[in-house]
Amino acid sequence: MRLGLIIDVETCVGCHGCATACKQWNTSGTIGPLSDIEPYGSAPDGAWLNRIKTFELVSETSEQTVHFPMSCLHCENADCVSVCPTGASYKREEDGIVLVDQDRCMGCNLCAWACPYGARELDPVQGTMKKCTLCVDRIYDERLPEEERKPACVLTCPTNSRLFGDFDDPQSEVSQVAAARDGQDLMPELGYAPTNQYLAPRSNKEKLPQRRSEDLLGSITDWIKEAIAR
Amino acid sequence: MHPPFSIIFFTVITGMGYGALTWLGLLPLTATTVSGQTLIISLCICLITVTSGLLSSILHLANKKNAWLALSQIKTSWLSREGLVALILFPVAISYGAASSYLANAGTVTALGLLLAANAIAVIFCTSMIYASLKTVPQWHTKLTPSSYLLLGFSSGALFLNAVLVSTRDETLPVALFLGCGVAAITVKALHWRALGKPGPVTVKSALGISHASMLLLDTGHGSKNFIEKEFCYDVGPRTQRQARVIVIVLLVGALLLGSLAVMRDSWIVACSACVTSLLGIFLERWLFFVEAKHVVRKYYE
Repeated sequence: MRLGLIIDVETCVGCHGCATACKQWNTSGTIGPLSDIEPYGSAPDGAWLNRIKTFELVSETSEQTVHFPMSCLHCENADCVSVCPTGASYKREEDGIVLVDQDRCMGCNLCAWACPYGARELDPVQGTMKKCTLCVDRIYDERLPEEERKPACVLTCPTNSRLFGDFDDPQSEVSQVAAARDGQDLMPELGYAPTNQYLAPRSNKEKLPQRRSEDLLGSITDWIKEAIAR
Repeated sequence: MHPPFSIIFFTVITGMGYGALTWLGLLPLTATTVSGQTLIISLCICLITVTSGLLSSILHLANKKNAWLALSQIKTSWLSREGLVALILFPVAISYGAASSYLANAGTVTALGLLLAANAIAVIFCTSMIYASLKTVPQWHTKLTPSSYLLLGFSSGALFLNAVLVSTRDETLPVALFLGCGVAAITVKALHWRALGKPGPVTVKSALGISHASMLLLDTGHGSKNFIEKEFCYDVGPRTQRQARVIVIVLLVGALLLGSLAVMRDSWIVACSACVTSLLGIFLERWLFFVEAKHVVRKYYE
């Protein structure tokens, strides 16, 4: 199995619900707490496993605002694991989830340096490294109804911009969507082979194919439309 | 990259200590003959120096109680390897000191000396590979990183050992030794600085997986600086960088001139100031090594 997420940047509305749900679940989960320093102060600090950045995309045909949630991409070639001197960072054989053993981490930051995606954050109180667990303490919990055995971020997303599943299974929803929508590896040139896939926003050109009318009236209407277009 | 004081102190001080241990180990091969007492004193000073550096590196850890586990991953982690070879060095250095004091057999002493030199070189190399192995920092991910760490270690180590030998009024190191290492180190460092200007492989487009448009960061999603920004988005102005580079070169060249003068005059004060000048230069060089390094995660914050 190769478990991971698909994140659809086109439909994400930047509500930060995934990050909040993640923090809520994981602060009392297996790697918890996710400590905060002065959460209500002027400069709050703390460990988050998912953060959303917002970009303005400018192309010839469009200007779009894009929200970009980022958490651990559970890479196949995870350098964060190989650089770890204590063996705290490891990648599970059975499902490819990258985890940090909180009882072995010495807080040297080297894994955060080795991660190109900024997915690892040092807990400012505990002094150990925190990262996305893909809600490993939830997705296998048989006491939960089957439809709830998903990461907290996926369950909470109001626009269904996050999908969870097994990328090794060609029939799974994530494999099918990744193939259909041309899922992107982030920073492929580094060779980390991330499992999580990002769906880039389609440009307006792609969404609205320009078609010329065949008949005379249609052509004139097109011409008028073009003339009065903004 | 944010320049952590404990790590900079650690790499500079241990680089000098292991550099000096390398030359101490190679002494039996050279014309320089030192008394057993001087050798023991030099070995002790070097070991105290590297120990202080190693202890400083522990200060960098946020969860020190697990530091004892750091030697467990020598198969993949350069940090583990560094810790292991650093620990092995202590018995090797002690055997070498004991052999040269109490054994007449020159062959054994030479062999142990060579082992000590190889071990000391291995520690500096492992330290440099912690940085050079990171694909995420293009400015570090180059052969120039281990080259400059090794050469700066050899050159400051030679000046350090020279200061110790001159102070014990025993011997001096050949001037050609630290002049050669020093000039090589400065040359490699200049090459490294020149290579920094090249753009890395990662672009904002490949970082976001979006190729049809140009990107502009609107919002980092949080009100104050997060861990990633504090750790990786540390900047100083280009003017500061240029000035610092000039000062590094001036200090390193000055150290070589002082070292040569110390050998000519046989003055321990000049020999010690050569060593201190070289340390200051390398300290500033290591600070620059961090602040000039641009981690690829910054593509998401630019």
